[in-house]
Amino acid sequence: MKELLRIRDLSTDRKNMAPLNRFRLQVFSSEIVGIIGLNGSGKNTLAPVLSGEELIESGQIFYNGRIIETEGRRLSRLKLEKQGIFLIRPGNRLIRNLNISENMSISLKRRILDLFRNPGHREKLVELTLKEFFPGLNPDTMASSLPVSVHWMIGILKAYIEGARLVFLDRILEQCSEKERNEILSFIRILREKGCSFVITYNKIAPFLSFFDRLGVVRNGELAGIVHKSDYDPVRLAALVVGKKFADKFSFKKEGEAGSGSSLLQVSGILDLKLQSAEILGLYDPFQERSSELIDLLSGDSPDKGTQVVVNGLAVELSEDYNVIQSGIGIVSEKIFDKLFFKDLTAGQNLSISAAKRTAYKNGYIPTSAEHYLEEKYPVEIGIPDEFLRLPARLLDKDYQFILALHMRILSGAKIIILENPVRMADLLSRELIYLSIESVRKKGAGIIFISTDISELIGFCDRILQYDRIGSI
Amino acid sequence: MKIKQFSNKNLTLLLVILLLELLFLRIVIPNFVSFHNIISLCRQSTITAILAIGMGLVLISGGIDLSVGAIVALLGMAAAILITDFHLPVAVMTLIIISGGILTGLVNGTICSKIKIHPFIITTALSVIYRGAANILNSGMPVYGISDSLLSFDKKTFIGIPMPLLVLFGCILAGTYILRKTYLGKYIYAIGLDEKTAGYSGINPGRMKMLVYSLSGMFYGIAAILLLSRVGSAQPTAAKAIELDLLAAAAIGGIGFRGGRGHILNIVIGVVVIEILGDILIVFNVGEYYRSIFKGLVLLAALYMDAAVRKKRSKDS
Repeated sequence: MKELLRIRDLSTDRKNMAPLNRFRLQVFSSEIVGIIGLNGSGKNTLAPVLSGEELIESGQIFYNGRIIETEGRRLSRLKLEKQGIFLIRPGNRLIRNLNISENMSISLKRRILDLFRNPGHREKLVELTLKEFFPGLNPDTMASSLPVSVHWMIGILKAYIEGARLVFLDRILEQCSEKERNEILSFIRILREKGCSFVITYNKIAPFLSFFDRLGVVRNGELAGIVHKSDYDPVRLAALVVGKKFADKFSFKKEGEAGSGSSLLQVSGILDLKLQSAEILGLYDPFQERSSELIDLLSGDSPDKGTQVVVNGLAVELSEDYNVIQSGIGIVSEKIFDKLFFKDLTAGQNLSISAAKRTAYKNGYIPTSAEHYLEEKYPVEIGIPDEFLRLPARLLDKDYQFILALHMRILSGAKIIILENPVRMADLLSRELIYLSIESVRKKGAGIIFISTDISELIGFCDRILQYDRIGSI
Repeated sequence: MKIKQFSNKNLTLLLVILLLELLFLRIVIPNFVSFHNIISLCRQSTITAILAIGMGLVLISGGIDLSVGAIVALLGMAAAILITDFHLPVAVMTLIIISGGILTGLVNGTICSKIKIHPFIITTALSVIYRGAANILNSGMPVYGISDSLLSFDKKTFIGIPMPLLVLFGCILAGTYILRKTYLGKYIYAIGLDEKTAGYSGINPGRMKMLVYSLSGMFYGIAAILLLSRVGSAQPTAAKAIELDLLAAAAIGGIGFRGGRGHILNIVIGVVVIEILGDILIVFNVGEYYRSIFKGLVLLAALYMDAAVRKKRSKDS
């Protein structure tokens, strides 16, 4: 096999996304490589790097033995495409109001004369290619009416006829059902036979691991390891994904500890779960339906009369006056993330509001010392850097916003913390802070529900894991 | 930027405007700017300033109350009737009227929190009801014959400072204390900034609104009694269109209309700025109708400035 792409010690800055830190990757011709990693590990930063959105700080990229200029600059997507590297991700869809043939023809040739041609003019090559790969498909079908799988397959085929030799697929499988995913993967196999290589990043890559020739595990922006198809071992893989450092450092998964505390939360109805005190309960919900329902229910957004919620032995009435925090439940979810803190206030002011009632003496008076501590010192203690203290919370990095939202819930007196994909947005600097925060909450006797679409992450951190599919718990 | 820092900057700007106004009056009418005149000016602004404190609380919490004038008229009529018909002592009447203010505020707050319609509409509707009730109390006629003890309150002084002015100081202190030093104050800013976020942070926005409107009602009650004491009679048409002055003062005082920011002292100085502006217009013999046009223009200009400042700040950050 011939080496097609080599990424050597690639580092990006941490302004927008989880950064890559001396990231390495090698892709050979006719190979399918999967990229796996915890949420926020940096695996999804590859796409913005290739599309030129993310600035490369250092490192080299070799393609076909030739070096691509990278240092201190952004890559040019058009130049990469000319060389045969294509990126397909949720952002670049087919044009909905053009038909398949038009969509494929539109960017086939880039000549000045083509500017005057009908963009929908059907190219011979397109016709032939469609006939070869999708004989039953009508080229005049509008892109808007295509099923998701066909939509993406046409997108990949479009790249193929434009000369793609290496295709990066970034999270496009996330919106597909299992059947659609299998269709796309079969199609990828066909193109692999024709000499095309693929790099696929996807959150739930573990369930179809056998599909890949090799699997790269990204952790903290680095390539933590490569697992070959023949060496697949779920425990080793989980250790690689999570990193032994965390597994050893914290007291997650202590034998016999889980389940020994008193029952903090009991939900029956949409899903049946019981959370003990000082327990981290993982919810693995690849379809994100049950967990969404749980969050909607507990946040009071869609009170379900048929569901019973018992907090600390007391039944919670999910009426209009229901307030999640006043019931002792703190939710930090991506779904309601922009409503979890006041964007125009600083971190300290946000924390001060959350702790206001608890710090107030008689007549609601808040001592200046308490206010000063909450606004100036507490944020630093929880890991928000000093230089960010004067900034409105909307300007903080996502991971600091997450820490802020979590601690606001803790200060409000929440005894049950529900975290949805807690480290998805975190970068390597602050992920440890998040885990420390979670651990400190657990040590105080709080129960934590840890919702994730990534089973490896849950295996690494939770005392118990409940797995759900569309019907119910497994 | 911190709320405190913003309020300080805004306060400095307001004081500069105030000084410029006084300087202008000093040049135009050299005798105008004397200690006596300034005290009298402040005294003249007392009632509007106390109402502005109430309105300020509501505005900071993200609401608006356009029934202020009608509530003052209703409470004033009720106070006069309690004194003239029921011969209640002033202290008892004061307690009843302030409680009445709290009650009307509670009604406003409850309706605003339960009906998900903009408080602008709700309080406009309520103002019609309150104004109607004020008319019903004495068949649309003013009430005269206020006891001397109440009338004399307006003229009393304490170490040379008129009593109404002292009441205003008390209200400023109370308002500032509530906003700056209590969790209630923090919650008022919080629901003004973002009601949904406040809800997710454990604050009950509905209950807070009821509390804020009730608090503002208390200030309306105090203002109604002071107005009665000054005018010497209760008019069902009293304080008509005073909301425009209050909104202009709030806008000049940097409270804005999106809630979540502002300071009591700033809105009070905003009231004084507006009052002096009115005096300047009177000095130049500008007719009443033109004055109201001018006030409207000032409000629009203040709103424009407010929007521009917000835009600039969000760009800068």
